[in-house]
Amino acid sequence: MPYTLMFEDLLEYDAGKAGITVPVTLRLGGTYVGVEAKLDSGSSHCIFERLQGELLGLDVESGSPEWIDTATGSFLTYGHEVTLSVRGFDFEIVAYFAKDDWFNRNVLGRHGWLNRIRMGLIDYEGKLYLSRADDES
Amino acid sequence: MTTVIEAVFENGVFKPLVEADFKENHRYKMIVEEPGTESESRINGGADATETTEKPDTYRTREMEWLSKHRHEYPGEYVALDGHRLISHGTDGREVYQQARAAGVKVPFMAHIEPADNLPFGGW
Repeated sequence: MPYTLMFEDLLEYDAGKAGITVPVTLRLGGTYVGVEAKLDSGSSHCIFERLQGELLGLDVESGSPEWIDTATGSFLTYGHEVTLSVRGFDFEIVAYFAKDDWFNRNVLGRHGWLNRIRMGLIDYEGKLYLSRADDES
Repeated sequence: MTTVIEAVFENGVFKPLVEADFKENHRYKMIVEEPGTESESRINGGADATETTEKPDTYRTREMEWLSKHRHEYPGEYVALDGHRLISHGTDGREVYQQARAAGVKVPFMAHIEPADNLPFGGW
């Protein structure tokens, strides 16, 4: 049985780059930072490097501590409420910022991203279709 | 009634950067203005001029285009971009950001360029 989905937006990403990379804007009050982030359905949270938290003006260690488990070990992050914007979609989320400087990846995971968005992916064409999860179109 | 919002021109159409309560298929009159002009403080209704004045383009289409073409030239470095322009680059992200701010870019787009010989990322 065929199924049809409708989306509000199409993001064409660089399919030649390692990972599916999208432009993200984080906002805290009147401060914004713009960064690249990878989609990662295996990540429970949206996790950003410490630098981005500091550029937002956060005292990173004042957030709620959260250890993140990986296949090879774990690392400490701190959660802070920020606004996440990807293209025209804005969400209030808890973003987790790594304690350590060596962590230089930004990932969009399940809570805060995948559970807020409806997504269609055609990786061989580098196409990512997006709508809000609560969009009924 | 006049409502002032930010929009981005992409693929031949203007797309609002904020949620706006417009009626479907209703005709509206548009006055197009470049950012940085006097009336920019009224953008998004002017509830908080400080926030809205600095709201960047969240589509970042030009920055992503630049990265597609040039990321291989800066392996292991941070780059700070403003549209199609490289503002600063280097291995210290804080310095790169501060240099871009000093150059007058309010919200530089930051990217950390992975070296080409990086091992494939396995996720978490």
